[in-house]
Amino acid sequence: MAVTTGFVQRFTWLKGGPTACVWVGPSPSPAELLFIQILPADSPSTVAFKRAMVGLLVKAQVTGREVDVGHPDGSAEVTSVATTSCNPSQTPLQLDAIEITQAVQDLAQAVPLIARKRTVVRVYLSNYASAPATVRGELRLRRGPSDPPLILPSLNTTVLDQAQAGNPSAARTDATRSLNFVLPDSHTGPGPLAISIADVTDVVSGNPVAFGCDRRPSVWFHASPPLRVRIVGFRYAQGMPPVTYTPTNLDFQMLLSWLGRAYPVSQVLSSTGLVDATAPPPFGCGDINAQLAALRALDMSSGGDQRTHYYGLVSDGGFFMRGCAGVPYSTPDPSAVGSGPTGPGTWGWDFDGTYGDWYGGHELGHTYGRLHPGFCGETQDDLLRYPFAHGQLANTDSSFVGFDVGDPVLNLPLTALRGTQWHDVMTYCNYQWLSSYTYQGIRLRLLAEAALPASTGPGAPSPGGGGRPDERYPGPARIEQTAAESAAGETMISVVARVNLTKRQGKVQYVHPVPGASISHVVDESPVSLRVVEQGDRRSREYPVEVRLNSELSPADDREGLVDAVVPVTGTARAVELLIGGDVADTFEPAREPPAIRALRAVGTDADGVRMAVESEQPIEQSQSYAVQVSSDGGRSWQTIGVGLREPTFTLDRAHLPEGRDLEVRVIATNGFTSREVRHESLRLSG
Amino acid sequence: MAETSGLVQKLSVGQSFSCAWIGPTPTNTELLLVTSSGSAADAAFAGSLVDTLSAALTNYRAVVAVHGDHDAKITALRIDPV
Repeated sequence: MAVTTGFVQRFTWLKGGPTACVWVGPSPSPAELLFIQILPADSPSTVAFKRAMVGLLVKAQVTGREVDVGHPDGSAEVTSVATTSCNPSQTPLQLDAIEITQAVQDLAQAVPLIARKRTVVRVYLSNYASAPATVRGELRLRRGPSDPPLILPSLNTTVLDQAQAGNPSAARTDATRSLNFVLPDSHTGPGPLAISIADVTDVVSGNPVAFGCDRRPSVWFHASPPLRVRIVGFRYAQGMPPVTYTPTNLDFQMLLSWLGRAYPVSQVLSSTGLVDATAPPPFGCGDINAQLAALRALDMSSGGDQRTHYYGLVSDGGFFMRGCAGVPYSTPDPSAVGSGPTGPGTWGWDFDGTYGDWYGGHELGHTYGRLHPGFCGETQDDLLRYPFAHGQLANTDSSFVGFDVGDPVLNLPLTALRGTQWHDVMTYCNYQWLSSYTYQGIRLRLLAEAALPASTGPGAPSPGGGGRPDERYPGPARIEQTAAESAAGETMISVVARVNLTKRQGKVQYVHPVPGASISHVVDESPVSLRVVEQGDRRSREYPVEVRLNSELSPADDREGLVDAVVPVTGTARAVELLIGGDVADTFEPAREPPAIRALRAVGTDADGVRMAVESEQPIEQSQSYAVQVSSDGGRSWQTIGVGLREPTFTLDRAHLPEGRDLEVRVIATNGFTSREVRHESLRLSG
Repeated sequence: MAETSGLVQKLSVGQSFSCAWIGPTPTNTELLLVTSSGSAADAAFAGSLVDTLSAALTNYRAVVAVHGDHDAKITALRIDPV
């Protein structure tokens, strides 16, 4: 009787017989071809036995387990299959498991791996010898059978103690108890990756150490869309004398880093901005979300990518603003916005200098359709039965463990997050990270959003910025007027309103013309409508509109939410009414045509940036306001850095604008239905 | 009846019986058996037991194997939620 020991390199089921062909060996070549054939004369018992052998061989192949395959000396027909013995008395150093993790994972590799995402391979070893050993190791990586292997050294050494042997569950909760390897970008692209241990070395002696119970897993990296997000900081002044509060650069950096580490994405396509809050402090997240929705609507009508999520950051220096967001639960809708507080508070567990990262992860999670699973004092909105007790990442330490892959730029280390201690980011519990449940949910939503068009409609510029060369050639500063009217004489306007369905109250907060936009968030039925009232006896038009309720409402709270819709108005429209339950809750009446703007000038610079002033023929009136936009791509797309402004001055913040690049700045004066614009070109911020 | 729980540390599939080493660590296991009387139903049951044991082994899932107080033949097998 012979035994062939090795890894299942290849497996084929053939109809003839039927016959299972299996190639077993230390590597794809050489490997020995063996077979299991089911014969017509086989008894049920024999068929079951052969099927069980095939089952074990297949599982051994897909999980990289070594097998002993028995067969007669002169035959390749398999007569027995066994996983190889892990014999610590022969080889005191034993390989317990290999885990490939990006944010959360179990040893069965149940969480799909995202291509190009920072990936850590954790190797768990046990030392059954009485003397402890300190080891380092090297991995061998291959992307295909003919691929030359890449040898990758471990980031760390680890101390292996007999008392801790044979307990990978405990080792998984401590990043220092595994050998950790950060995979290079070249080996995390879409497709397969075969992983094996090239060697383990005793750090003290420098000698290689033999190990038993080898495993050689293969994994698959899945292409995944990026996270597209614009983070807008809100500046406010409070107190006497007034003190100005803004989120710090660290708040922005840590939030973006956290999203890249915790969310199922390889890339965070981001931009940041800083704007003045139009509502007086202490404002609420509903005020900020309304302003953010207005900002976004202007950005989208000016070439922005429709798949971009917007999030508002508010410093807690002056007061604590509880966060909230819109929740597009059933349909992908990146226009849902959210906002939340940030500051250096630790909450007793977060010591990285800011809590705006996980707090932002929670509110942005809502904008990806995630609901509260109902733990630690929150209302249970997610009725799909969150799978783990108490909102934890896992029920036991032998299943899912969170893992923060760290950020070298921000000096954040690799950190294991015990599944029974850490909680899902959509809960109100401490120790927040993404559970496998939320990770998968956001991944599916990202895929659905990726299928949405990037641009809004016929008026949006193409991403490549095409067009007649003479029209694209940058000219001197010029003054323009736009009516934002379509050929049919209709103007699309963005209307942002806050509503309280319980009290049947509401307020139209922002109205702007949005050239090129399409009608949006108009639904068949809704308790809330926008009615465009015409002059004279012309018939008014009514548009039922979607209401996005505040994500953080408890059953006792009023049903408060946001209306963020685009509707058409004609040149004869005289007002937009906000109707709740059929009653008029608020009316927006545009003022006269906005004043012509003569010029836009830089009037000074300081450490924060450039102070700009608008010169117009007359001051703006009630129901008129300014919006300010900046372009760093020659006017192909614009980002709004001010909206609802009543004063003709503003600051271009150095920290949130690209240095050393030509910027265009434009100011739009609007009465809600029409607008006038002035543009200042070729402004450059230096460091 | 007795219960033995833990990870499937090793599995050996043979013609007359299969062996499963079950326990918390490779050095602390109990050897249990999967056997079949030869009837079609019993053979199918034994095959399913081995399939379950191999899935648990390769996915690091703990099992609870039920067997007689004084014998090692597995009569029932359970994988509890984690």
